[in-house]
Amino acid sequence: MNALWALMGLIAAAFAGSVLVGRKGQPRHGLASGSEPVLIGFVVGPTVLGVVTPGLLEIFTPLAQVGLGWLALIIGLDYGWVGRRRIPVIRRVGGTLAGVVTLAIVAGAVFLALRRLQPGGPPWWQDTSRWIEAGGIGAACAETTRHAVRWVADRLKASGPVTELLLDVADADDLGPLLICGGLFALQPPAGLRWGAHPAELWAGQIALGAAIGLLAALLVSREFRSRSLWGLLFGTSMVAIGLAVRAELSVLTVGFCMGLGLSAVSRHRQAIRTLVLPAEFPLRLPALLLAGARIDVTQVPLLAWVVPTALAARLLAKAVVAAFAALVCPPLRRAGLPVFPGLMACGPTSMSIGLAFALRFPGQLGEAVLVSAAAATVLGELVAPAGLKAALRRAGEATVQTGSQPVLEVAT
Amino acid sequence: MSSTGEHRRGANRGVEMLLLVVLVGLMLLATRATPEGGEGHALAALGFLLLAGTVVANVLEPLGIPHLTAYLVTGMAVGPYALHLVDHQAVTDLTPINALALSLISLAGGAELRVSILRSAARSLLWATLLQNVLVLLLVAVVFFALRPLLPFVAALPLGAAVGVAVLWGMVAITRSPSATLGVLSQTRAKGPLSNFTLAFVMTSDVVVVVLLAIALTVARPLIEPGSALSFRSFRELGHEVLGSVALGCTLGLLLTAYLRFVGRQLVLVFVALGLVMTQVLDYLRFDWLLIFITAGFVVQNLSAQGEKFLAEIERLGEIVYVIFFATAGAHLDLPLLARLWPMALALTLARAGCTWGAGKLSSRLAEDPPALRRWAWSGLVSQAGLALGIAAKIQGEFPAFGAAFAGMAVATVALNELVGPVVFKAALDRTGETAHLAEAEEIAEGTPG
Repeated sequence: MNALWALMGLIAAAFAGSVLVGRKGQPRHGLASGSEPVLIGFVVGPTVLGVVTPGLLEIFTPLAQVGLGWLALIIGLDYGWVGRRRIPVIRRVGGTLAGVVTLAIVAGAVFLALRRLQPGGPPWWQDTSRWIEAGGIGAACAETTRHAVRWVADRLKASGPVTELLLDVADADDLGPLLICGGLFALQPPAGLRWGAHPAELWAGQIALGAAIGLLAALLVSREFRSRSLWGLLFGTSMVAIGLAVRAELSVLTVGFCMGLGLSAVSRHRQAIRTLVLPAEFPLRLPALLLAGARIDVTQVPLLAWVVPTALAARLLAKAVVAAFAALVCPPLRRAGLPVFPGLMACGPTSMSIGLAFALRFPGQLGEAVLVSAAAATVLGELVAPAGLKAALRRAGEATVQTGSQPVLEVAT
Repeated sequence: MSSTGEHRRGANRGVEMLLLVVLVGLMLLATRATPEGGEGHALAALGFLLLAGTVVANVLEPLGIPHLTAYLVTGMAVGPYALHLVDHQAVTDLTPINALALSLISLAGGAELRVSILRSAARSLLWATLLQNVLVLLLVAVVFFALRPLLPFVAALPLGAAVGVAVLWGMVAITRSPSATLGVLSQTRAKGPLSNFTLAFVMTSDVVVVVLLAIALTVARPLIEPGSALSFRSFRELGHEVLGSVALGCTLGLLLTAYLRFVGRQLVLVFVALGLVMTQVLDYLRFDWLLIFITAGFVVQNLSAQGEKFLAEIERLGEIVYVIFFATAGAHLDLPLLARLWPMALALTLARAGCTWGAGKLSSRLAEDPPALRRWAWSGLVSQAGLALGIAAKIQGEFPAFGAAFAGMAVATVALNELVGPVVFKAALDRTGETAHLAEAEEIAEGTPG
């Protein structure tokens, strides 16, 4: 396949994404996590059919970086909001903690497994590459995707405190993993950077860069608030942010997310910007996930049989801890009962984006381990989470549509 | 305009300049901290050109400078020959974006051409097409021939060959810039006889230029290369290119109409597919994709009820497209070459402008145009851009012996025309009052509370 056909395929994928998202007021089509392009990408990629060759994947690397940056920007813009409703501070903190706790448990478990499976090497506190690998897998396995919660809630026409809580937690838990990515990228000093800098400075630099460009965008938008120029200003500022991050080999996810946060925090046109930008999420997400799927190469991860099951087991444990703690502090959640726990296992676009970002920054074994773990967590989530969420919302009495027994893996139309 | 409004605008521009300084600082820092080349450079360059171009255009607006001239100047200032915030590699990497921009500009150009406008301006167009193309070609060729002792790459040629090169130079001189015309009209939203005439002339002249190029190559080749036989190969290629392109354009126009009618969503993705993928395929098949897109836009506008919707969708992208296209063109301008060739380039530019002015006066008189056109019909025909460079590149390929020097001189004159042309055209539109309604709209918006 040549580059033109591949580009056409990506454009078609973006178009399909816009169709799958459904019209306003209709439920979204496809899998709950919205991760079906990962599977398609994997099948057409070098590992299975080889329709998309490694050379083509290299050609589309800039496109993948732009897709990742924009997705992170959209997540940042939308962070702390569900539609037009502001998520209460306590839930934002709770959601963030849920993400960080999951990340820490998964990263810790994977790090221990890696040290045990490959003994020797530097002392544990200096074992940078394993920290990056374990941290990356932790970040990729930390989220509960809001898309799955929204997908189930739309189908059951569910509303109420449990639905709201799950949506809020799923939205807020992205903060930790997306910020940690920047820290992990900074642990291995970028080869292209002419000036030496401490990893902590580089991490802070990424957050500051994203926030500063977000502020710049907010100031420009406030002065030129016309729909004709709004796209141009947002596109321009985001390209500068993404371009500078790629140029310095920093995390486009962290920079893009912080830009979205900064813009959202200070712009008085936040709602208008969200209205303009959010519809771009699906068309952007599909090509990015396709590329992520195509990059999956299980043969590059020698300890796959140990690393991935360890990550998934740790994720199960972490989500159980989070579910138990949430039930303890939030009485309405107790009505939903045990099914909340598998419901929290849903993950997808954010996890795969983190996986893809690591695969691009650390080509080879390290990056692939993160990407494969993200894909495995997504598949597991797709198998157990929709059923769990449906059961939880029904038990909580918030589902207004009783659809009877549902297949575990449902491809809705 | 109220003084409060003026103060507010002034303050806004001050803040925008400050933000631009911050942005330049960020880019300078990045330039110092990271090596040249790489994918990140092109992405950052794209964003930076877009932002810097927009801000500079806003800041220079009170001086009456058209936005696209500001975009060009910005590109020149930050490009590889001046501040070097955007390097050579980044400019090259952004070339596919130019194809996307140009395809959108062509679609918009075709869609702006309404049959009613063509009918009302038919007489003026006929005379102008004849005089602005044939007469200007001949006059500019004569001037070029007269100046040949001062042009090193022609001075040594035999008389016949010099005549041939002069004809080819005349050919370059009669190309106009659809992108510059549309850029100025898009910014000013001008309405009236001058804007209608200029739009119709510039768009139709694209076809005329392609035909004349084939004739010019056929005539010039035996003069420049005396051993070569008179070949009509160019006409066969021309038939394939023009007729094939028009046919393809009609088909594409009908397909776009059906898409707008039955799907009507995600037109941005359709435009991206057309601009990035279809242009490459058509290039490979040796069709003129500019002509295809102009025809397609014309078909959508005039053979369906989807024209306004189509134009509105293109306009949504317009602001981004024009900034990127012209700022990248500015960054691409070879300033050292311009500095070296500027005296002769200036002479040739003035000669072309003078011939265009004279031909404009004559054609308006013969067509009995209204006074505004009689005075200013020539003003929109000064700009030159990609089409002229494309023709110069083709001539360079056909005649390698002097082609490089010829193309270099063409780049220098196009640069001058590209900078001055939009300023002249906008000034003419302001003078004729065709931009007045935009100013009124801005006044009203300024006075609207909130």
